[in-house]
Amino acid sequence: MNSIKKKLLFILPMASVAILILFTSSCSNDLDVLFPEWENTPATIPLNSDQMTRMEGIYSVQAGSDQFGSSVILQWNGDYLTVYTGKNTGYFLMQGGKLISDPTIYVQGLWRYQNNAETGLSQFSMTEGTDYVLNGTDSSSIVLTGTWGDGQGTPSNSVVFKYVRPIKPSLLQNKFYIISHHGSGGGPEYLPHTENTNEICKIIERYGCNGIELDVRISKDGVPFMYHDNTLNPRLIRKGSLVGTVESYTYKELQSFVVLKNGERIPTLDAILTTIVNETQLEFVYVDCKPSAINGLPAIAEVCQEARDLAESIPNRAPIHIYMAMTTDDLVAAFQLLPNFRDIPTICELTIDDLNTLNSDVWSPRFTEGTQNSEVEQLHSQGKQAITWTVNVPGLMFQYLNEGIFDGMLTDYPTLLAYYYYGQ
Amino acid sequence: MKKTILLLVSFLFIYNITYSQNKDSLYSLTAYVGAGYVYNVTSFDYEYASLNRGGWNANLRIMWKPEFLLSGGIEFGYTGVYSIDEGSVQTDSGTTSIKTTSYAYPLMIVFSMSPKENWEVNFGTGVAFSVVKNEAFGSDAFSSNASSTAMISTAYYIPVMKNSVLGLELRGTYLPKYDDYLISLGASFAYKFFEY
Repeated sequence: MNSIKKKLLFILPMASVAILILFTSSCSNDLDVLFPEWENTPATIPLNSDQMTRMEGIYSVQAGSDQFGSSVILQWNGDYLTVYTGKNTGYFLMQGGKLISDPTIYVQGLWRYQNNAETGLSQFSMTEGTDYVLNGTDSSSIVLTGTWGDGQGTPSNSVVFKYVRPIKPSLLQNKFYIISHHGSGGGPEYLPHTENTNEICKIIERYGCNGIELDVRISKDGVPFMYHDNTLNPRLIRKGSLVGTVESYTYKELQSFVVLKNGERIPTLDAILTTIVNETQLEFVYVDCKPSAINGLPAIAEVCQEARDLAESIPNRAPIHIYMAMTTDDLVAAFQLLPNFRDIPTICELTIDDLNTLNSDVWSPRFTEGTQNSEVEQLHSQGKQAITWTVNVPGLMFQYLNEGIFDGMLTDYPTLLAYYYYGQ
Repeated sequence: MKKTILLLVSFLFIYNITYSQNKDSLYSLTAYVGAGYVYNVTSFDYEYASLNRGGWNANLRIMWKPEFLLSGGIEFGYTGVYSIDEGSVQTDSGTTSIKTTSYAYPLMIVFSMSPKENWEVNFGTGVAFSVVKNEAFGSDAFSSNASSTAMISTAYYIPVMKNSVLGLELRGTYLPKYDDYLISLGASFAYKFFEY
């Protein structure tokens, strides 16, 4: 009896502690990811668009392939040089240009594995091909020689990229949408800003995206605002005074008393679309209407139309498609009550019949439904598009790009999708 | 799923090693009624000057005590989580008063053992119905949600009359969905109301 008692004395507290730990760990998604920054940045002259284009392409990894795989793809996104690597969903984000002090091209920034917390500083100098990139005069090979490091430490590990070929022009000309899921800030990929915020929209193009998916809900007082989950919870917000169902509160309460994970405030749909139109060149906005949006479809439609009008009024703004995504039968039914609903640009996540009823421009089936090439071909013949959500498995990205004919994909890992797409 | 499996394995393991004990022992049902002071020890990312971490809690627990060392039962309770009452708060949307009250109703399966005479250790897990009431900007909001919860407690009892004991219980409660950690200290009265 005593030995059993002793065993239980040990087992019960241990089981309790184990279960408490399980509760705690399963509800936390904190990776504690560092975003290292250089303390000193040498003065550079930004490259022009021709110079950037000459630098873009597929490179072989001459040194550092254990860390970054055997080939990488370089692409300029605005003033950021993004290197898509095929290993561990890795990427580099760098800035730079022609050094003022030296006739060479220099870039510096960070590298990261998107599926874990590994990151560090990195830098590259162009050791071959500078004349070609700057002036287009010499078509010899381009070689970028650099270093990568761990965390905030000085990078000292060697990495060398050697130009192999350009990205196929057809891939750049054919519009394929790389759409960041929720803005991709809050999931395992851990970007510096929280999902569904103005701040994430401003930086998401650096990760290879030309589209963004956002989640809209309706507040207690009828304001369309951006938030994915049903509840205010630690995945998305800092510990504060409000908890519970997000739609229980007025927008003023949400905006005033809720601080998102990275310090941002919950934006309205109006604010986030204005940011996208004014401060990005994103071309595809997928406004995912969450179930509570059923109470505010006219307001959402109106805000989306105002954003389209704003985009048209801006000279040289890339064409932008802003779609309301219909995700449930109830939403489809409510949407049909709107006057002229067939003229409102929509995405339909349901059946082709629903798509035809709504006259949706885009069909968006779940990735588990497969490539569905015959359906997509039929939609293409009607001038419509098809994208699939949410593709995060590398093998499936590769398969859908090679075997499917989708016009885009939603993903939490846009740099990986860009690697597979531009590497074709 | 992992939580369920771990719970089940722990229970079965303990059940197996305690089974086949003294067949002459009595089975009984005991009711516990407790109440006390609860304090929220969570680290808030931003705090109001008037954040009140203290409150009160109460619970009713019915335990089936078999011949084994481990007993099991269910518990229902109330616990304050925090409250805020501030006359003037400056926000991006203007100045407002704010009155927030957060509390929860935990409903748990509880396992208990008595490692020493008069001393009990309890572990419970289940669901908590969390509620927040908020008044700000002239609007009243009420939000409630169910989420998981877990508690661990220890209590010391002294007999006060036939079939009843009175004691002091120290308890830790966790509401993972909202990241609230609560510690409470209170009185507990237990009455064995059925034996067979």
